[in-house]
Amino acid sequence: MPTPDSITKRAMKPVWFILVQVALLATVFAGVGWALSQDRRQSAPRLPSLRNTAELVSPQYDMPELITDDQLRTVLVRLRPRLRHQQPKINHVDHALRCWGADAKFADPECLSGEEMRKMLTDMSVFHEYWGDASRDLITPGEMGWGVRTQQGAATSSHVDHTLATLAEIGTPLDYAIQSGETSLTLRELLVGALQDFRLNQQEYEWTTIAAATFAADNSAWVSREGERITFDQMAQRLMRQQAVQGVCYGNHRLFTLAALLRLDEQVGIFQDNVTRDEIVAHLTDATRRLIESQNDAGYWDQNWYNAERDPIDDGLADPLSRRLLATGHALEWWAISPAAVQPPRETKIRAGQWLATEVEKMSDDVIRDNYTFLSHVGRALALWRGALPAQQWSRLECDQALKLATTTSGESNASPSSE
Amino acid sequence: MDPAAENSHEAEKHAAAPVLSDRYALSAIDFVVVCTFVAAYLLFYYLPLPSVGVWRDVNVGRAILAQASLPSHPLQMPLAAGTPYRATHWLADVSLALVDRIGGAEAISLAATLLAVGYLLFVYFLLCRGPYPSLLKLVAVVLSAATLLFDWQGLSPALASAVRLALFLAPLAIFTRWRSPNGAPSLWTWIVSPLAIIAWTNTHWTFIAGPLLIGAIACGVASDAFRQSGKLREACGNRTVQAWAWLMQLCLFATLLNPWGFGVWSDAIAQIAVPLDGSAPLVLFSPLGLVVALFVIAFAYLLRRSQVEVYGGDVLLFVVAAGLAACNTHFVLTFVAIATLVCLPLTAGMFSLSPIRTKLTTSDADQEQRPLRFVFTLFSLLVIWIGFALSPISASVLGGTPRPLVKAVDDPPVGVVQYFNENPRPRFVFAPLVWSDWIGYAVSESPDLFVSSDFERLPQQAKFDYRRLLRGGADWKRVLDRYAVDTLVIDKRTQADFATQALGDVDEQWQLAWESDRALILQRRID
Repeated sequence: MPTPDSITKRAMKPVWFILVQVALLATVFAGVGWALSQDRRQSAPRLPSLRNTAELVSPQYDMPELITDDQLRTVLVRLRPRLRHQQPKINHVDHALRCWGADAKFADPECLSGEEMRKMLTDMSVFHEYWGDASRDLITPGEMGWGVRTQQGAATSSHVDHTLATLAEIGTPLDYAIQSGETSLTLRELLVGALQDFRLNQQEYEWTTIAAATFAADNSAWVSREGERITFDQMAQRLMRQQAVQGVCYGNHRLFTLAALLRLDEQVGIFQDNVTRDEIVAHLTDATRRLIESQNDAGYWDQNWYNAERDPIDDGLADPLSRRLLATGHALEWWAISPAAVQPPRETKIRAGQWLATEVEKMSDDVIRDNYTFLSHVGRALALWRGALPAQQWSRLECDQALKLATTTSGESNASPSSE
Repeated sequence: MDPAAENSHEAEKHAAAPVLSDRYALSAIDFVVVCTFVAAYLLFYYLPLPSVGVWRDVNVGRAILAQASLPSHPLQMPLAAGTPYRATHWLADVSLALVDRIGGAEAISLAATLLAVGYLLFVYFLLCRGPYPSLLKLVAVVLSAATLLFDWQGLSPALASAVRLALFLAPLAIFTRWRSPNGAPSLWTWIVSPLAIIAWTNTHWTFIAGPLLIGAIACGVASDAFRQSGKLREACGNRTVQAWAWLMQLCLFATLLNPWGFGVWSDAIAQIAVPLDGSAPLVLFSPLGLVVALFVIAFAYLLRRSQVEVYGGDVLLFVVAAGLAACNTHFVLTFVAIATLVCLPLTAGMFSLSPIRTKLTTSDADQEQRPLRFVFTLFSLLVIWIGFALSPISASVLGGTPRPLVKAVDDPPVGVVQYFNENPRPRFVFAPLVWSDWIGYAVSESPDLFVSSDFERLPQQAKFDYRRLLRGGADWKRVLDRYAVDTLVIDKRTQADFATQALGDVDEQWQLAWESDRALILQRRID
């Protein structure tokens, strides 16, 4: 048997031996330490790369056949935000701000301007002017950072991160000042709080996705509080995961968010994998196919837009008109920002647009008030299909003058999106 | 005496002389040892394989063989796709998949049994190598068997690592050079230890024990050298000390021969800090804790009472192994092996001469009774045959009905799997964890699973929802909607309330697809 002495024939000098051993051990320890820190960094909560300015998804089509100027003027006038009263539902303010944007100005003294609505949501002293001092702040510190109180009554937002997404979609920059009591913060802190609290499998995730994508600087991944690595590709997969009708507003917000992600990817490049785009287009195309097949002859859709053979069911919305406004307005809205590849035939959209314009025109004030959140999507969708945002259409169509004329003629306005 | 009669007598004596030599003549204690091994063989063979863990590992092995690449996230568990993952058990998983390919669950059961018994043979013949009483050796074997039994997971990577542990310890146990003056590692130790470490690294995260144990020997040899010379400089200049230190370095760097380099160390340290595989730090008042405590007490007693010299290498080996065992139960097997290796020599002189020695000094009286001395050998052969005949593998040789699957595996959802195989389609299945691995393994379509035994890798929200869904609850449909689960499997015995509720909630969306006394399957209608 070979002797081991041949391997260790000579002993090294002790000093050299110790030095070499220490060097080798240090190498191993450094390597292990490096691997540990890499792993820890990979699973430590991390935010996506954000930029200060919001990337806007602008209108891209103009279809006068879908809604004429006169019809659009009527719709916009009827859906103007008459929210200058005590305790306007935050849900309505939120939706109205999203519809009209921060630049909107109205001659009607009952209407809040876009900036006034934004202030109500972001400056708690203004919020308390409307809601009184007894109400809790809308924006409050939470476990993971600042957040908007949600689903706790009329003085709170209706969906998780809906207000945040609204502020993002209307182009509010991340350094926009927010005042909560004595504390001054910025929109960035609100977004950071939302992202730190975000879980990929949470119930409502559509608006957090929109907000994150609107401020994303690139396609870099981030890590959630659960240690999960998240990319916008995964967000898209999450949005496409559930069945068509599942999610808020019969699944339409998922479709809108997917369409928005496609646009933001074109503009900024937020996806890591090109396949994701193809998958989204296929998903939206399938939704379009279902919508084409299920459209009512009158032009609307109902809760059963995904399959007309199923009965429309919505325990929360018994009124068929509400369901139809919801389903039809949302569908036209996500189509308005979608690529041509997923668009339905023109007639499909025209019939839907005409049904909405007709219904809004003949609606009573009470119905408008009761359905204001859904109608804000209708107004925005119809404006987008004429190539501009509602506030821009308001100016182009000289709606203030038209409203003044109508008021003078009839003695009172016939449209009120009041939430009183 | 008549020469003819004398010749006849000589011929008779010659004819009666046994053909086998004395070394095959087993003693009563040897017979007990054989019986113990046969009992262990039958025990491990009849111990059902768990329905979790091993089947997930088979799936990973199958995927590696099919795709010729390592998976980057837990297989069949899409909800965990975003969490960090390294398939560090890949070598064990591939071996498992190959065994499964040969004979399915029964082959895995047999392989697990042979591995366990093989390890016990290693303990008896190599770790307990030396002139020790057979009874002590038997105690070591029984404690090793108990360690395997208390942590039994079938042919898991943890058990597969026992092979690497045995391979690693074999040259150390045979040569025990650290106890010799100027005893550098043997050539076989230089060759086998790094190879064993490489295999171990790619099998199970307990590989970190290897370099640490060699390091313990190196430090022990250095301390012995320091005690002798009283000078640190001389101790460091000692050729033996340096040889063991170099071997430790070689073993350390051998651990880097894996697909992730230093990443496996990171994984191993993470497993010790926050175990993801169901293991845990050692609890003293547990079966494994008692085994460890027994060895610690024995070692402490032997240190005080032993008549032989105590070596630094032995003490540090014991301390390091005990420390590792305290950190995680997966190290208990390593500890028991090291403790056996360390404690047995310390018993020298404390017990009467072993039966082996007695046996070697044959007397005239023994010579006269020679034919009777093979009685225990024959009995041992008989016991081995009985053991074989009673084991399930005998059916393939002796005939008879092969063992049904439900006997080999602990509570497999056979009916559920049969339904899925008869109604193939892409699925996302929510099933209890104890069934999920088996469903993932046995269903030919390889469905996506809400959970597998990689449960700890799920995001918190999914874990929370899994626990909630196991109990049912009013909003179970809503939660399943969120994850787009399309198939719900309920164990009627453990989820009786949920089963009743689910059957009451059957509607247009969720329909009852299959039901038996044990389980029911609800399927979502896909629009």
